[in-house]
Amino acid sequence: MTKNNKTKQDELYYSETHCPSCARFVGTNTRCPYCQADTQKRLSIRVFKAISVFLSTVGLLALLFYAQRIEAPIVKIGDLKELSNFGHVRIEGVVTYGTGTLNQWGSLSLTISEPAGRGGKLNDLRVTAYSNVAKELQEQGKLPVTGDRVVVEGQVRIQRKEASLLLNAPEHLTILERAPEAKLGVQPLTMTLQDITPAYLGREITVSGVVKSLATFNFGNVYRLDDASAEGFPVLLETKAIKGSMEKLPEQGDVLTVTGFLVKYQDSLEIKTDKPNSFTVKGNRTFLRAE
Amino acid sequence: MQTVLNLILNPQYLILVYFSFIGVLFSLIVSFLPALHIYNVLGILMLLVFHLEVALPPMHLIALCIGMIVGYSIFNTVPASFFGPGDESMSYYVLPSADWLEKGRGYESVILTAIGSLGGIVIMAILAPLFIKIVPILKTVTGPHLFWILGAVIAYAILSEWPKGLSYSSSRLTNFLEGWKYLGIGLLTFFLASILGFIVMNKTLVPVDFAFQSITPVFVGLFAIPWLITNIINIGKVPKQHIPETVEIDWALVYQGSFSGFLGGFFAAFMPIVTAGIGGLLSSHATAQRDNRLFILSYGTCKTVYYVGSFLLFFIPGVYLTRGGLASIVSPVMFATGYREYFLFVAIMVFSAGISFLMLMPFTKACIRLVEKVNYKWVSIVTLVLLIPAVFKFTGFGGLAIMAVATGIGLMPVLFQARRMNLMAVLLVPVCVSMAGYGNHVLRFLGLI
Repeated sequence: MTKNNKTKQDELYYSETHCPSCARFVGTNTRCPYCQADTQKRLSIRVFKAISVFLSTVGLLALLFYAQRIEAPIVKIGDLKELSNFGHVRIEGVVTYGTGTLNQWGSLSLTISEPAGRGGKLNDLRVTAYSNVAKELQEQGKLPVTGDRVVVEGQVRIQRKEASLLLNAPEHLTILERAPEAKLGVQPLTMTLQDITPAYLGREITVSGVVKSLATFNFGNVYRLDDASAEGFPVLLETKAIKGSMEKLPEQGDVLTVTGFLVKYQDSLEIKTDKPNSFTVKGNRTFLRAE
Repeated sequence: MQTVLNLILNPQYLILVYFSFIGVLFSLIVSFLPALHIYNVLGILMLLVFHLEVALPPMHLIALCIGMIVGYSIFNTVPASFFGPGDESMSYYVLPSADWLEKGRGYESVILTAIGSLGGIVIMAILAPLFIKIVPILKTVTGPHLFWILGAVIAYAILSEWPKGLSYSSSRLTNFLEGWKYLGIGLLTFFLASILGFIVMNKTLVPVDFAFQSITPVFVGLFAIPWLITNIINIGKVPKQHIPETVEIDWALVYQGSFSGFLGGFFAAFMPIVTAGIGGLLSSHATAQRDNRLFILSYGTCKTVYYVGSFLLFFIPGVYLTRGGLASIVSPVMFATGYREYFLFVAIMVFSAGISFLMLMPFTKACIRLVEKVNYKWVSIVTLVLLIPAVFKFTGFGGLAIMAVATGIGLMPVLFQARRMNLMAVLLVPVCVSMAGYGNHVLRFLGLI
């Protein structure tokens, strides 16, 4: 392109990207990196520089001020959908599984529920807290137990279409009301397997039964007790309960007596315990646990 | 032979080819429009799937996503070269690419990057059976150390930036201030982005119904809008481009560039929050790259391995590693199943890469013709006018506020000549600090708890 057919825009581009002193290309630099001469920049760049500084400092402070003052929205467990993933919400409910202790990794895991309409069916949500938060809750005496009415705030995680909530600060757990059982020191209910119904969800109960089958997982062992059904009634002895107990591990045909909390697992009921010495075993087919 | 033919010609698998092809076409459109990132489009797709309850079998959705991510990882070099960089992973590539563009070698630069991308796909396909054994071990070994590895990455990203100012004043203070001017802007950008990250990752300022894309206004503000603004205020023109019949490269450079790019890309794919830009920087320094051709090619490998590899990791049976934006978006509805699906993933990935490469050449030529004939500034203005209401529609006033602040921060490195990589502090710092166990201390200090 010759100098004669250069447009005004070309000239402007040249004057703003080349040093007026040494004529070398300086790009967006306001000072020539070769001879240190100041270069002219058009108004639009200067305006956007001012906007950038304003938004990134004053704007950020205003956003921080606003964020400090807003509370996470309260939502129903049943309203949590795939699109709520990563949302920061508050949920009010009753703890249907909470032992008041930390698990073997020092973290906290509990289940909270809320009634879902007339059917009385419960909407459940697993709430977890990493060990640093769980330890702070323990120090503050705020570990929830079954029956407590609580408000928890945290980040929603939905994986494999299952929702859970990550409690990320001890301040985000409020115990609205302690469980009546916790206040009165109610003893576990002793029941037969046939008497167990969803009405006892969250209660600590003691049952006995013959081990029909067993399955071993990395989080514990699941024993199915004979309750005249095809599958048997599931009892989960978590690893912490197994390792902390001096009792022999049950085998098929043994009579297992266990005290644990009645919880929901997927769509069925289950007795779950992580307390050492919460189970006893009777029967001929027992073997010493390998240490 | 008959078994193989039965497998290949089974309609059940042929339909996956169809869906992956649709995905590639989607990514082509996304790459053509400025400021649109594939993750935003996938977010909108997920919205449609959930809201309209579109009955799409999981494997069809997976094939669609693979087509989109593979296509995007190859096509997005074109807008980055001719229309400006879209995200942090792209801006790393722009310096040598811009240099080639000025010399009329933009087409060659795009094809070199695409050769690198193909190299990355081939390496991943070869190593796919090995990943099943290696990745679980890597996950177990690195699990407790992620926070300090991320800390080291942050430290390297900051410390590897050199002073740009040139001052020969007799005053030491003047020289010092000149030297630190650009570094200071980089550090300020890093600091402000970190604070923004702590806010958006711990408070939901957008409606809960859109929480799965709550990071969208942040990235639109940090990368997309500064890109559009730069296009709008830019008065320069793309010089006439030469379209050569061959590219100047030999096999040794292809091997070297693909290997280097794979290292960076796999690191970025495996580590949480680390992007291709950072991975590329680390690997290019680690392998001491000198040649511009090598840099451009290895960048192609790096970004493809990052985008596609992070999604591939999600499907390794028994590992369930959620890395990268796409895996996070789809994790509520998709999950790793078995070896059959994993190797189907690999097959679809290879098919999509081949199709994308064939489509890349006419696409690049079309884009070159477009920038020569149409003032791209107007496309950017229209996109900006559409983008802001779209963000408001999905994320409300909270999203707009986040986007505005992020735009301010995102413009800083562009207008004050600092590294755009500093913007990634928006995720790197909050995640690293939280992993180290100090997240709540910072949040209390900021008054966010």
